[in-house]
Amino acid sequence: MKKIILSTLIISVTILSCKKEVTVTQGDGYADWTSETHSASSPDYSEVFGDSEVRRIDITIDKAYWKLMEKHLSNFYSSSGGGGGDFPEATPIYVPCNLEYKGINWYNVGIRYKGNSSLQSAYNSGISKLPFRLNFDEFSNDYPELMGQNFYGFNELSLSSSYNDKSLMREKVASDLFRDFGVPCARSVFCRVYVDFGEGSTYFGLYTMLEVVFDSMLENEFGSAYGNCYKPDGDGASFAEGTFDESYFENKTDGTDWSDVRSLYDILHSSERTSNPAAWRTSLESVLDVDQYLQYMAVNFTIQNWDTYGRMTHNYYLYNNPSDSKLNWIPWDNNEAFDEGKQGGALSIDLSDASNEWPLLSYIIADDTYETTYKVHLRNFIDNHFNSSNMSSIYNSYYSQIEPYATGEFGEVSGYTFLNSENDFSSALNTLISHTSSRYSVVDAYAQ
Amino acid sequence: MNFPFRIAYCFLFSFLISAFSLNAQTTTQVVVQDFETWSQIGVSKRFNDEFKLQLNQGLRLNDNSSSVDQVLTNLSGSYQYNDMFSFGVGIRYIRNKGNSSGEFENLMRYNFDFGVKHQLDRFHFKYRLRLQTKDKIGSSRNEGDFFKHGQRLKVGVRYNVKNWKLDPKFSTELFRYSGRYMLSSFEKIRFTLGTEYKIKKFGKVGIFYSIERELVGTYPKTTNILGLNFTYKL
Repeated sequence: MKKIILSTLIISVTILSCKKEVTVTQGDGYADWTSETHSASSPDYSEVFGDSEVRRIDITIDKAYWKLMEKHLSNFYSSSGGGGGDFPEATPIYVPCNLEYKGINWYNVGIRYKGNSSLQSAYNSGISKLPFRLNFDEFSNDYPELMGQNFYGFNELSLSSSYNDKSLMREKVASDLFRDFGVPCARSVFCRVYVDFGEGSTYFGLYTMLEVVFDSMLENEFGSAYGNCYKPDGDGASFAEGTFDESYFENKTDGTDWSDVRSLYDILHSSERTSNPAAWRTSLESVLDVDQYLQYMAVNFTIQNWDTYGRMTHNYYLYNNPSDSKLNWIPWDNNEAFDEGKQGGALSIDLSDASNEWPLLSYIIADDTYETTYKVHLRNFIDNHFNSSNMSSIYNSYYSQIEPYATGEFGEVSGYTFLNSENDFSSALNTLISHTSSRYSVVDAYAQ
Repeated sequence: MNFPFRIAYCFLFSFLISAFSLNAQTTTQVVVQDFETWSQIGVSKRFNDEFKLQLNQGLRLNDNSSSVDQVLTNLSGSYQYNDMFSFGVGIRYIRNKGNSSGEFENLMRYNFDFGVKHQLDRFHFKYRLRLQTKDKIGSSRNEGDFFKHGQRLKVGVRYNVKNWKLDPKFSTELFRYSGRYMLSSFEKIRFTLGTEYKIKKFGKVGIFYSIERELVGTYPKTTNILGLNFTYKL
């Protein structure tokens, strides 16, 4: 009898102990969840990035989590001695927040700081208008019902703070120009950002909201997102001789293969470049979409987008387009364009000041064939896009659109702005307009 | 179409409609209960009344005890200060299956224990405060790897049954975790019922059954654990 009782007990406990799973339905229990807003299968560009209006998002972060973000930022900059360096992306300091847009809520969205100088300089100068990254699916392990949460089909979004840009529109205008001229670039839209971190809703200022390259942009621009997508950073990102190392090329997609960037580096430095330029060009064009790259160069050096390749070893992506297995250049972080620049300033239009430390400029421009094509693109760009008439219209249009949220009653507020006065904003518009005419003259003279 | 065909057609149509309806909403499976087995063998050496050293090798299976979850090697030492108070330290290497990826990762755990024990008739009470810290091997702070600290409070009681070698033991342990960039929280609680059988000269065999319950998340997991261990006395 005892044996029977014991056996029954063991069997019962074993059965009751077995693995159990429950089926959780996406969005279950979240009132605002709809398939169009929270789990769309493809990005709704017109809803999120349509230019018709300035967006507004309201972010609510629990006070304890906000303190954690602040602590992380403070510790990072004190431990790096205040020096530069990319903010470590892998650091698990995404915190959950609630995001509201047009009266609809997104739940436990991951939010973290992002950026380099735009983050560090603003932080060090005590300005709280800092750049953010949003990841709508970040906490789905903790909240399985939020699995696959997105924002009208976008899994991630970037909020650029318009650091060092008193016009608040450089990021937007630059990315528009790149794309209009056929250079793949992230879409952007103006966005008012309000944050409640336990002290009531605070206007953090007018941001530029951008799509994230390896999230939605690749699929939209190339029709695929499974090719290698590198975010180069550090010495090797210059492609200067002797600097190549895979570690400088973080792969944002599958992360297993660096043979394409290795080939680009090898071909770039091949002796064929001087001994047989035609063969060198053929080789180079087999790994890099050179014509697209020359288009990029035409836009980039016309608008003096200096905070990137040529002065800085970051702020661009390379995507290996599976349709032709060629690397494509994707500009990123364009908030300091339309300016003479720092760190030695913007390079001249003829790139005569591009040293061999930047071979993707110096070697390209030294090739007569490529220089000719570069000039053709420059001419095309200033004739059809970057001329006073067109740019004045764009600048004035955006100025009217964002002016109410930049200055005045509903404008940016002290501590959350890079504007020192209301006059800063209007002056910045005039600076941009005169920049166009001066650059037009420079390019016009060169691209004869 | 005759009647049986019509019925069959209706069934097929209904099935297809329901199948499409189910697919319209994405679902995911969440494990809310599992059965694990923890086994451990080891050696122990008591140098005198105060000092004891122990080395253990453990294997933990999850997913209805069908899959390796952890392989661990543990070295620990304890010091019995007096009849009531004791201290302990330990170092553990853990080869652990990651939660989401399923890939194994290597961790080190360090712990410091403070113990109190006392007796009330046939009840032997034990309390243990364990402070531990865990770190992933080969992963840097810049990659977002920071020490995860644990504070564990265990309360246990053993009943000394007359003329019976298998004294029952019961304990409850509360786990709280904190880290540099995480909010601290009580993450789980573990209830354990077990017993030990001492083999003269050789050591002891222990068996236990634990129920571990997560305290956070919308779908807290309950883990049922059957444990068996053998310690050889040097």
